[in-house]
Amino acid sequence: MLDGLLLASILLPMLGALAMGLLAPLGDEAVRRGALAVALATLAASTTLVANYPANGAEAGAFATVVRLSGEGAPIDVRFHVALDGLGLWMFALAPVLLVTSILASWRAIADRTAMFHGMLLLLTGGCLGVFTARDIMLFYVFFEFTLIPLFFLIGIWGSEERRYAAIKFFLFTLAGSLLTFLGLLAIVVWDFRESGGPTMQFSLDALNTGLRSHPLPEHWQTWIFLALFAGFAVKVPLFPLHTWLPLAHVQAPTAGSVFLAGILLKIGTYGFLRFCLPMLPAAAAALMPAMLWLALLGVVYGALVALAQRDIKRLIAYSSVSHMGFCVMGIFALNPLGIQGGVLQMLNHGISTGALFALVGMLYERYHTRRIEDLSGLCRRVPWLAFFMVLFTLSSIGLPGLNGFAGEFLILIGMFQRAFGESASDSTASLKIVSVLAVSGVVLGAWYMLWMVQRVFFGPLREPESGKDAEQGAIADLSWRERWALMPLAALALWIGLYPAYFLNRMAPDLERVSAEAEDVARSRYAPIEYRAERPGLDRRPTEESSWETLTRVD
Amino acid sequence: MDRIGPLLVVIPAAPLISAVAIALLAPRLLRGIREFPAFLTIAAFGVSLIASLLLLREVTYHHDHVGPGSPSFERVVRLWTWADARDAYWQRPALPSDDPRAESPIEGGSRDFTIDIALRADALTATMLVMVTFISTLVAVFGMGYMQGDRGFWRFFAYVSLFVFSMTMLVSASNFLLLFVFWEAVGLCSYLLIGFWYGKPSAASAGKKAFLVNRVGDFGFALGLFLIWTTYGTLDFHSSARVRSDDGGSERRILDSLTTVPAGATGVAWGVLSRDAESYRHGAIGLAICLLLLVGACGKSAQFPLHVWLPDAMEGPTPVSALIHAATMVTAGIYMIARCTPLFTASPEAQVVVACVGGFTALLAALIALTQFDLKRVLAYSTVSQLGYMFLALGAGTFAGVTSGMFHLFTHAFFKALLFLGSGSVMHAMGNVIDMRRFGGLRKVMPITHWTFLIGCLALAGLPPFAGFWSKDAILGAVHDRAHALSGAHAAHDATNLAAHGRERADDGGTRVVEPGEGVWTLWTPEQAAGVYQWLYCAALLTAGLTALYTFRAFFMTFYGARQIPPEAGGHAHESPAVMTAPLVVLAVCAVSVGWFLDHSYQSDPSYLPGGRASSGNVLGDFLGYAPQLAGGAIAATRTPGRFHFDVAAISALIALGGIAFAAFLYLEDRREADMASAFLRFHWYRRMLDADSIARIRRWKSVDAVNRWADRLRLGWLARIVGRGVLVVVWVVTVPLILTQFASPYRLSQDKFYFDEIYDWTMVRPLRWIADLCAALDRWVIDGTVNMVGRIPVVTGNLMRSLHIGLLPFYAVSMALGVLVLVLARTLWGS
Repeated sequence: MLDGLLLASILLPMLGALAMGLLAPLGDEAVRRGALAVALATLAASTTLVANYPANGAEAGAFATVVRLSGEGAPIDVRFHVALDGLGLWMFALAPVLLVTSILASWRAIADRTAMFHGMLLLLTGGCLGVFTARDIMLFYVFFEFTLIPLFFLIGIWGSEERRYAAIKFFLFTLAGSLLTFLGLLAIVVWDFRESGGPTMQFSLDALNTGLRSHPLPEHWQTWIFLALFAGFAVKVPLFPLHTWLPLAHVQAPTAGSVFLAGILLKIGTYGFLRFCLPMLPAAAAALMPAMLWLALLGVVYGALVALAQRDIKRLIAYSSVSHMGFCVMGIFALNPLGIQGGVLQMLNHGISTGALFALVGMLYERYHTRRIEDLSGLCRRVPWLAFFMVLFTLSSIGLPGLNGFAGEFLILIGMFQRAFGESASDSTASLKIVSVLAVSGVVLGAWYMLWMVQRVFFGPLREPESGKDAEQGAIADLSWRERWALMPLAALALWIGLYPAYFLNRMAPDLERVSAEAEDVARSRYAPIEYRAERPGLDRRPTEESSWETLTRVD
Repeated sequence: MDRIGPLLVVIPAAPLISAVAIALLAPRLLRGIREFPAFLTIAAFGVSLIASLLLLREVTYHHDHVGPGSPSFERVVRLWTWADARDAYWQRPALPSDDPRAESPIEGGSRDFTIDIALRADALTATMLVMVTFISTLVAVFGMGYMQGDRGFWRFFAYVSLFVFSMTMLVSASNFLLLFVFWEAVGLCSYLLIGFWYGKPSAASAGKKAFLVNRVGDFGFALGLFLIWTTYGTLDFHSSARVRSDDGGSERRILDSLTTVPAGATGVAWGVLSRDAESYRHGAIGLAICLLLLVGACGKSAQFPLHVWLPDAMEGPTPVSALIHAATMVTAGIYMIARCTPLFTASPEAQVVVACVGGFTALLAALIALTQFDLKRVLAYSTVSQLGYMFLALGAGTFAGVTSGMFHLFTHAFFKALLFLGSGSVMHAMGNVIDMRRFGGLRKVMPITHWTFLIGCLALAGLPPFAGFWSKDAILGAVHDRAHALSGAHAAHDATNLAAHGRERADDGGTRVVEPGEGVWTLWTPEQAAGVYQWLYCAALLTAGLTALYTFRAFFMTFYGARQIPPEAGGHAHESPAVMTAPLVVLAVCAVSVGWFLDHSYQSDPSYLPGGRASSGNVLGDFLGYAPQLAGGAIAATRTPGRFHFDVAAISALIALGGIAFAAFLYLEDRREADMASAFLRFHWYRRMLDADSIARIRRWKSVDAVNRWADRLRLGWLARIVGRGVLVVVWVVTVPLILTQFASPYRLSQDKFYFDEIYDWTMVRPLRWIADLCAALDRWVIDGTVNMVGRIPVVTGNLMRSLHIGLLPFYAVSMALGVLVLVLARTLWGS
């Protein structure tokens, strides 16, 4: 029953997109309602699945649907295989939530070609759900590229002034990277085919994982393939210095596009690292770990600094995304359980808080037709609900304890410190200590630019631009109930994750552990100080419970 | 039936419920009932206060029943598990102890990352809880009168309730993560309340400044926390054991005190603050942890160099200044360092740093407070200064030091809250004017405020028998004793200790001295540290005098002199209503009595508690001695029978009296002396010599005039002019530095707060902004430019190729033939 539901939750928005075309003659309002209904149905399906997800993880993925796309003895074995596991679980859960938010937030903003707009939005959601559940390399890549198309149109048609330039830049940038990624993925498949000696070329993730465990790629091959995958994923994340498409795309995109771009699409990059680089290229992941950590740090600090210099709220939040996604990559490449769990949790957190922030900026823009910080001041008095949500998500974004951002950042940093000061405290990785300490400074900078923006825009004496809705419709109205409902689920999630992250961590931890175990072991042996190498536990053995507790020698 | 668990939950829960209920109900549903938020808040705080007192009673009860074998008591209650990652951290096994790199043995193996939402009850927590809930109840009552008619009435009480929730959680948290969470949460409440009147730009920016400066402190705190995790493999204060449960699995069980390891435990994870004294790290990593924690404490408790936010925080409503920025939140740093005593005793260098930070801040803030005209800012700097005293006490690092710091925290809360509420009462009557130059002689107008304020001032100045005297004397005595103990003046005493504890001294090249009771000195010798403590003692005495001076300066300027009332008061300046004066009276009674009520060292001979431990002669000190962090380990070894330092007390009381007298001389009735003093300190005499008038006067001197005329007659006027100008240049060159020093004159330095804000602005804030702008430009032109250039490659190559497509068939044919030729040639030349 639930197995079918997973397939249904992916197909539902896709079919819904087609239905938008049928609803179009009934008028914009009908289209919006229809899209909202589809979104809520998808949300219900995905929530049911997440609620029923086995608490101790599912290695082969839960709720699987497998359809063989090639004949029994065919030389190529490509399948339509979707299943849910701990890596994609929370992004899978978040996408429908953000879909609902997007539809509600663009209720009034989009009046042009409404049916097409909502169709694109639904297609995008379907694609994203597919990416995070695909268990076949070919299927993953199809979904991976498919997500580009609806977003390209969303930016190109409903964007701001420079939308065409932004859309093309976004499309070409990501496409260029992902072609290299495809090459890398194919190389993995071909290697497995050559070494396994079987008659069929396997594209299934499970088969490849088992295959590569018995005949791993040689290290120099791993490095090259890692770099190829990096090209696509790093552009998606985006990692410094491949991030320049992001602020442009964000600023030009319509609100819904920004919400989805920040909330879901960027995470495909980090998800890719987790899904492919760690389990399939463990040696390369361990070898390139210091470089990746430095890149992530550069992203964190550089993104924060550039955000500090921005005068446009949306650009500021876009650069804050660069900074926060740097944190995600840092967590993943700390290559220890806390860091990786934190990194994945931060993917979810960033989706929630940045998605909400973009939606809020959209609502602000709808009212004042400006996003320049110096045009606005003291709006707290005029739009208290908007200000409340803005402050709430700002605090969540800067990692205030009790809200979601803190849980992720804390785990990432503690994992990073473990990496730098505990597990590999040898001379070869002394520079990682600098990384870990500077990374914490990213948190301070984050507080600075976000609070600066909030203080300027919402506090102080009231000042509104002349060219608002003011002239036409009288005073600016506060958030309507529709807009409040768009944000409340995100606020509830932010609070939930902040107060009880264990719920989220426990469900993904076992799978993350399986995925990263090998890379962790390689890293541990590679970077351990010489005098400890003899004593480290074997590659195949995680520390057992007996060894994990100090024996009772000090009872007094 | 154990009541500690429910009590621990009720204490924070009541304010939380109040905050949520106010936020949900007050703006809409119950808008008609104006007073609803205030009454709900007061009721909730009252419940918390009663629960805290009951908790205190429970803890005392347990103290009376602890056996001599376990001198400490703690009870930890787990609510839920925040995060739980098994085998998250594989620690390297300990190096053999003869390995030179092994600073101290740390157990190896893997660690679970388990963070419980766990609350604790022990002496430290109970003390803090009683103090916090008591002050907040009184402040809520005061606030009901003070905030009357403000359009943010309900918002105020919602924030204050949220704050009290966070603060009670902060002091009852039992792991570093939870401590950090509520550390930030009180910071958030402070941010919200400083910026309460957000329409005022100064309030909004003061809120942001407080948050950011605190973030810098939290940056250090977080680093310290991460290092604690990587070093000790846990973040819990308490120890816990893994026990096999009935169903075959294993569960974690919290150990309530060091000795109660349950039967069937498979292993014990020792908490960061409840392990054997020998297992603490000395050396660089231990020192780093302590200093980073100190940075966090400096941020929250407004110590140098992070003290700049507190005076600006006075933009918030005055009850908030009393509650958050004087009595409770700013003492969180003191609480944290007192709680982390085991870590600090393990690295005495860190304690010296703590003491230096405290002593320096105390003096610095007192100097600034001397010249401020804003009554609340004077009090704010005085808070910074008194917090410095507490840091100094903690830095003394002995049992007496830590307990006297906590004692001062306790007494200070009462009289400083009293002073702030008194200033709020003045402000209320004066129509929100707080500049002391604009009002005066209010003692007849506001008699109750006047008398209670006087009591607060006497307590702050430290005159016997007011509360501040006892705690200040305890601090001075502790620092004094520490200096003496280190310098070897107590050699005889040490010798007995040496015999008693079998202490071993391991000299390592004369610099590394290991003494279990004293920690490990690596950077300095104990004698050098003794000198530092001696200096700090003198600085503290000087500060005591300055404290009396600025306190009574403010008091005389406000309540004495010619009666002067600003027009903002609206011509009906009067005493505040009973709802505001009643808390003042209660606090005044406390400010008089709480000192001698708790401190009996002057009347009792050194005595011993059950279990053979020395009594400090101070009820609070003895009580705190049951907290696990103070009961065992190195700190317990420094425990000596308490004695009253008559010499120290006499000196400090005399100095304080002198300060009051000087203040009376300068500011009582006639303020001309004050003008003279400031004129002198501003180099007025010197500047007067350089202004245009005096130069003209010099010109009119007969001799100068004669020389000029004589030179003119000899047609040598040009020479005279050149000489004159030369002299002028020389004079300017000599005097410019002196003119510049008018900014550096003691008075201006004090008035302008030693230019800390400006220095930070120019060395940190602006450069960072510049770097940010640079990065933004770099991003736009260099990085994106490169990307665009790469993007142009296909276009450019395409254009190149296009020029070949000229459409002439013969050209294509020729090129094809050429191509074939090249291929054939290549094949024949290099063969297969």
